[in-house]
Amino acid sequence: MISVQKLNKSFGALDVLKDMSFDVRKGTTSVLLGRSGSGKSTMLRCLNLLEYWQSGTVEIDGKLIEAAGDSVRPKGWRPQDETALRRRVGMVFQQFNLFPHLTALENVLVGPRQLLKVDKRESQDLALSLLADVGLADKRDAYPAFLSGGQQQRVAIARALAMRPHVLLLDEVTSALDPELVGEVLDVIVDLKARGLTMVCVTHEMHFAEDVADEVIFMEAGSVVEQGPPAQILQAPETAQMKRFLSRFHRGRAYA
Amino acid sequence: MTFDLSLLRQNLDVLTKGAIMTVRLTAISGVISLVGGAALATVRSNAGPWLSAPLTAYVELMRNTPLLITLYLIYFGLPMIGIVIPTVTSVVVALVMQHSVFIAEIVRGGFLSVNATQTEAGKALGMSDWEVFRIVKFPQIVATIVPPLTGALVIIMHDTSLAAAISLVDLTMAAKVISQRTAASFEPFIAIAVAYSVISWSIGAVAKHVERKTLVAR
Amino acid sequence: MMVGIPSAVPILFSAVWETVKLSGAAIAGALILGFILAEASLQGGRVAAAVIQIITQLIRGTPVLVFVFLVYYLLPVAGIRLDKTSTAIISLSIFFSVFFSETFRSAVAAIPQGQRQSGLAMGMSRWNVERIVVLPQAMRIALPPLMNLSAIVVKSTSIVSIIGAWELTYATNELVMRTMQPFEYLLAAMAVYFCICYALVWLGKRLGRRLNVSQKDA
Repeated sequence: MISVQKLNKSFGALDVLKDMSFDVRKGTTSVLLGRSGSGKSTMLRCLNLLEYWQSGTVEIDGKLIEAAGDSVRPKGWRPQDETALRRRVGMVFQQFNLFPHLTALENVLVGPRQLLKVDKRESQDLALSLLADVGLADKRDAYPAFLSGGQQQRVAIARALAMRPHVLLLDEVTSALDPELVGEVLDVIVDLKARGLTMVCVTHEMHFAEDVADEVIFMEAGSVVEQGPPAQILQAPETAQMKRFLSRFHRGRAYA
Repeated sequence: MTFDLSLLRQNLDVLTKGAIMTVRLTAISGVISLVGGAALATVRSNAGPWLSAPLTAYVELMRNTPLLITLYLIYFGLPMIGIVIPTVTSVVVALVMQHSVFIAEIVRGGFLSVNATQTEAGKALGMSDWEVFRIVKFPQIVATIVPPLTGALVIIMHDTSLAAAISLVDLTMAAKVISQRTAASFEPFIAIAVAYSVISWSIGAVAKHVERKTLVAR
Repeated sequence: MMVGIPSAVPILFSAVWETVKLSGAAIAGALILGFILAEASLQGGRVAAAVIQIITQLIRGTPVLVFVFLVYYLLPVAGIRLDKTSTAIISLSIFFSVFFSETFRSAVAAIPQGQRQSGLAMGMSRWNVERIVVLPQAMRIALPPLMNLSAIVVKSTSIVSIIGAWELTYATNELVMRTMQPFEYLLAAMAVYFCICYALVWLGKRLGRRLNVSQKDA
């Protein structure tokens, strides 16, 4: 479903991604795990062209993206191609980014109604069922300012799902939440896994990776250091960097 | 003080004429300043260095010089170079020149009030730039600028009083006329001060109504 | 550039000086009166604060020109006969005192309660806390907005030309009428006002930056 080949990106003199290569099989969930500054979010944002890169390719959902430079649109890609890609690749952000002037329902409706031009009845049904799936049917008329972080994030997921994406990108989606609210979002993601949605998540929290990943891709300083299924990589790390990263979590601190 | 009221009744004709002119000037100048200010803000936020400098010069000029001088320049100056416009238009032009600058600042505040992350969220959903503007940015900008725009409109209304400097019959000129016509010197001015307050209050009331409809809780 | 009337130059210089004096006096008056109003509002209890608030709203709801006319016609009725310049100074002082007062009050409000509490904890009387802890800091915070207000007062002095007080705008207007050369004289006047106001605002920004730094160090 997704294939990243030798992707390089730098911001001026700073190399952010170095020869990144990995694959994501359809229907699986891959987690980009690493410290802050390891480049994982930047990598994710390349997948839906919110970032461009200098060299390397990304093949996603059947479309090939070849680099043309850091601030330049990839070869052969026009603005409408980018827009079209983003309608098939959904993204959920760390800070939720719900539209504050719209209710929860209206946020979810924006995609189908205004972008996909689905008719009123059908989009309403879809939006309501998605809100119900994330457990927020009763909050349909609430404005984001009146929802908790966990609730906002679930609406954000419903909003992304309303576009019927083939791939869902999740950027640190639990990092901004109070610990007791993480569970409700995690439940939704696990549910999406069960339904076979292809997902790529970015996180710095080992436990998130454990709960959700089919494949963990550990990154440090812009490159893949180690990768494999969570059972293998998290219990029996091979590289020194991985071990060092994991030691942070084993220092006797319990995670909610 | 009954002397006061009978006076008003006798001079109702000129007072009404003045009131209508004040409202007219305020409304026309307000609308054009809004359009001009929005345009100015948009141009300035996208302007390269060649365009930025003269625009900044114009903005600073309008911010640091009296409106009255600008008005005199328009009223006395334009006919000299062959442009003859009605007096009302001179007042409107001067007001717009001055206030589009203030409104541009307000609109710019509106632009800044929309997080860059909002734009990203819109793009991630697959919105084109125009769709991001229409669906995400514009409603939020409007919500932010309505309260300060109300204040700006009230200030425009106050500044219309300068029409009296070129003897255009607005509320202030009307008071001057009445005070010269009759024995009452200051009473007409109290009357129009009240009138100005009433108009300010009405603008405020309408604004609160609009605010309630466009308010965005954040 | 000043074609036709060489004698215009001394007139203009004189007029500029007159504007400077007028502005200075009005600003001084507004500062003093504004300070008194602010202190009365802050220390005088709820009734005083409410009354001052009402007066503030009334004055702010009135255009400057209308207020100036009002004072101009009201003073003789109260038995006070003054020349036009003095009338101008008094009316501008009173008008702007409410704005200066607002600035003082927000400056004082901007000082965290902790400051007062430290002073009291040291054993200062409430009066000493105001004098030693609050006021010096409030003055620093208030300085940039006060400079901006001063620039606005300078611009407003042009309005007193309408009641016949002699200053730059009046003199310029006269010269324009006499020589039929609006651009030269009005643009020159514009330049003068610009220099004065821009300098005041710039000074305000400079002082604001310097004083803020020292506040951080403290």
